[in-house]
Amino acid sequence: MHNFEINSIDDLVANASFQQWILSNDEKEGAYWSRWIADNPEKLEWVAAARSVIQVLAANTVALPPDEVAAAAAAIQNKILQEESQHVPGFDLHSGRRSRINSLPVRFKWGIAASLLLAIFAGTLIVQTAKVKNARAYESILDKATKAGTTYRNNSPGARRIYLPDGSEVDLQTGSSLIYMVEDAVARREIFLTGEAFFNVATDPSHPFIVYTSNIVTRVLGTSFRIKAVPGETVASITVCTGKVSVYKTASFTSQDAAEGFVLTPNQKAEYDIKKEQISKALVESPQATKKDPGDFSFEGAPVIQIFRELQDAYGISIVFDEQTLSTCSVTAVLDDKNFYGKLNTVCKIINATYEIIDGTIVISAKGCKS
Amino acid sequence: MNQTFSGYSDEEIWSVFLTGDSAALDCIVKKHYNLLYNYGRKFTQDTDLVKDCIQELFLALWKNRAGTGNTACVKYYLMKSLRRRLARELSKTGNITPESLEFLQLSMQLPQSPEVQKIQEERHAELSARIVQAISALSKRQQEIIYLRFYLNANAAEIGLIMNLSRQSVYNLLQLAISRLREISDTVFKHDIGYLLLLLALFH
Repeated sequence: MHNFEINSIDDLVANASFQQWILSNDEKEGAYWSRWIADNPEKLEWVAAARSVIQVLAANTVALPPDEVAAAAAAIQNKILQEESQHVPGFDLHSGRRSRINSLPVRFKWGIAASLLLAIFAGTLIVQTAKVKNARAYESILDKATKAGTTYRNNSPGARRIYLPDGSEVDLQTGSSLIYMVEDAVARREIFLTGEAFFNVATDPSHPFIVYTSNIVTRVLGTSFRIKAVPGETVASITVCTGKVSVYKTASFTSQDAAEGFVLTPNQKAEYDIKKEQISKALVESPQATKKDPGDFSFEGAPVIQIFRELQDAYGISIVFDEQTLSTCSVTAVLDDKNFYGKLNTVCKIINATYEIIDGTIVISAKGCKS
Repeated sequence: MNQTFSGYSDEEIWSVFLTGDSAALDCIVKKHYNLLYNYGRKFTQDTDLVKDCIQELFLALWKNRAGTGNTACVKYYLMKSLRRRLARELSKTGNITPESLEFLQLSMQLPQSPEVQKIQEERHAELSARIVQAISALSKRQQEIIYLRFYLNANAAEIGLIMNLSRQSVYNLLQLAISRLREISDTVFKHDIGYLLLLLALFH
């Protein structure tokens, strides 16, 4: 049952349960508030005034009939459909499939041609026996999956949502495909992805969820993340929304030796440079708070160490600093309407510090403050 | 409501929409149409203009989805966009500048409740009239803040986002408005034991 703290009339006006009682005469809420009034008879005047305020604010509110809303929504969908078919010259009405290259502006076509060329050169110049062996290992797994697994392909013009048998959801982008296979022998859920997809993985610690692409492998327990590994592009990437994933080079993961990988946490991304065969770890461009209620980030004479810890906590991004140097620094600031980097910049400016992003971690350098 | 998205939060549906899923957009439209329509009508009596702006808003969202990111609160993001669009449209007709978009006067419209006794109704009308009077005395900005804070439960940061104000100015405007509300509730009820007894009967 509810237990609200009502310390003023505005607490009452802003209370959703109270509003519901006044506006829709909700019986359940009504029972609660009648009891509350009986317990707090001295606050009756607040109740009366709050009731009037809510009714004044709600005056003239109309609920449009559902069919009018449906008609407005349908009009929007129709316009979208019209514009899509007008502006996409590569859209083929017969197959319903859009040819990707034709729909792109000319300068991008050159970009693709150039990167294809690069890929061909890279492919012909660097031929190492170990690499060939590892690629074969991947191919043989893929071959097995193609036969034993279920294939999903998205040829429609928009993203397609796929519900996998284990309860995971995948938004598969246009032109992408995946194979799903459960390996009972090794208790694994295995996905083979070509293209781009966003994964929301059903938690099942006893069956790790492993996504293969030709260059990178991502291993997760239960989490959500995006993988982009489009054939012909020079960089493949993985971006984590929630939870943790481990990332490996496919060649290393499929070989017999112990796989070398690293862990990605929310707001971090891994990029695999196909030409250099290197994985690097970075932060996403605009980190989102990972904590449900990150607080309001207003500080008055707060130790900067505490501020960095709160930032780290709210965004799940680790911040490294020298505790002793910064122990004399304190900051007064309201940081709530800035994004992560805005907050970080402001704090650094105040304490005259700089930062670098190394391997997906923020490293602060500062001289300290005079006490 | 679109069945495939039932049980999803606005923000989850939004991230699906960003991937180019028009069904997700459809779901967002249906879910928030009434809210946006009513919010828009707080700035103009031209209901067709409000509906046009809502349509244009969603079409622009669809077109620009590649440059759009995830948002912490879809509802307030949409309200902010509608507000900006309405300001632009209303300024075209010449009456206002985009910055001076004005919240229409809040007006009194009492709900009909025949089961309540006449005398209570009268006292209630009197109280509402005083509250309308007090709210009307506030600036248009304060009125809009009160509407957002107390009717749509937006917090100071969210109000700042919608109205493009700093959090501090939202706080200042809100504090003034609230202290006025407190004054009313204090003066109206002073020395009015009889009314309190009536109210007790009403709320039991």
